[in-house]
Amino acid sequence: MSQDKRQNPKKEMSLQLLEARLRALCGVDVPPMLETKLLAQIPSGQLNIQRPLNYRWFAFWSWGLSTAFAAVLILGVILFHYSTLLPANEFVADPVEMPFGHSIVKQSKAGYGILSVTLNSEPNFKLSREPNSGIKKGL
Amino acid sequence: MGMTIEECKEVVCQNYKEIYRFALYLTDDPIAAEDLTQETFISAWTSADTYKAKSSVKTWLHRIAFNKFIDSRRELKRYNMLLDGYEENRVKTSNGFDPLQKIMTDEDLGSLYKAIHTLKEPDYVCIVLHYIQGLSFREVAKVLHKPVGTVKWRINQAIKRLKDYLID
Repeated sequence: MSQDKRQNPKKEMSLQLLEARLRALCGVDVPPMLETKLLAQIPSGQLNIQRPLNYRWFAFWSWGLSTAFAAVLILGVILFHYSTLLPANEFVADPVEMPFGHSIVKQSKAGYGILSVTLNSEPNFKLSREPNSGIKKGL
Repeated sequence: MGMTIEECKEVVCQNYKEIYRFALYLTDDPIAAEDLTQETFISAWTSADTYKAKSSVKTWLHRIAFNKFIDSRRELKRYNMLLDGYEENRVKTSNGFDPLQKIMTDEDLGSLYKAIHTLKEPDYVCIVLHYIQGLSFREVAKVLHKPVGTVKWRINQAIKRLKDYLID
């Protein structure tokens, strides 16, 4: 597009000129008594015309409120999460064995399911790699 | 939410010139344009309940004016008058008032005025609403009940035709 403009500056200029002239066609005179006639036709009493919405304010407030709501929601979830975590000594469940030797060592007492899971970072099979272990022997 | 008489007067004062100009370009007749402007505002006050505030008052009034023009054209077959040419129909009011005097005395604007009358009616209305009335593409689309893409396409086509006409 910009290349076309550079190649045809005359053509582009004429388009701008044409648009400017089209806009200049708005120079129309209005009959002098028209305003008075129109004002006289306004009915008495209050008309039920809705004012147009100010979309800019509407967009601003809707964005602001939704962002604030989302922030409060996220904050609430985080606070709820940490508030339901019990101290370590109150976690009652025994470590649950998981595949590859991982185990769940913490489980909430509160009944909300597993709120915090700490995986044993050292799987059991690590032991089998030690010298003279069964796997080594097998290999 | 209601509107007081003062607010209605404000609506008239802010919009009557634009609506008259639009009516003049539609009818090409100062007397018919004045009638159409009055009909538009009367219709606006009587059908005020139908205004949903989804668009600006200006767009709403343009829409009423265009619908009124379509209705009146159906009745009076003004369509043929619009297509027959502008000079035969361009009559002055009884007191010699000519609203297009400024335009017709300017050679360039006069030839452009003739040129836009060679356009097809839908293209012509789009050009009038967008360039002369200063409505955005979206507002033009609302006035004409057409998609925005169609309006843009029509204006593009009209501009091409106008350029061809003026070069020739």
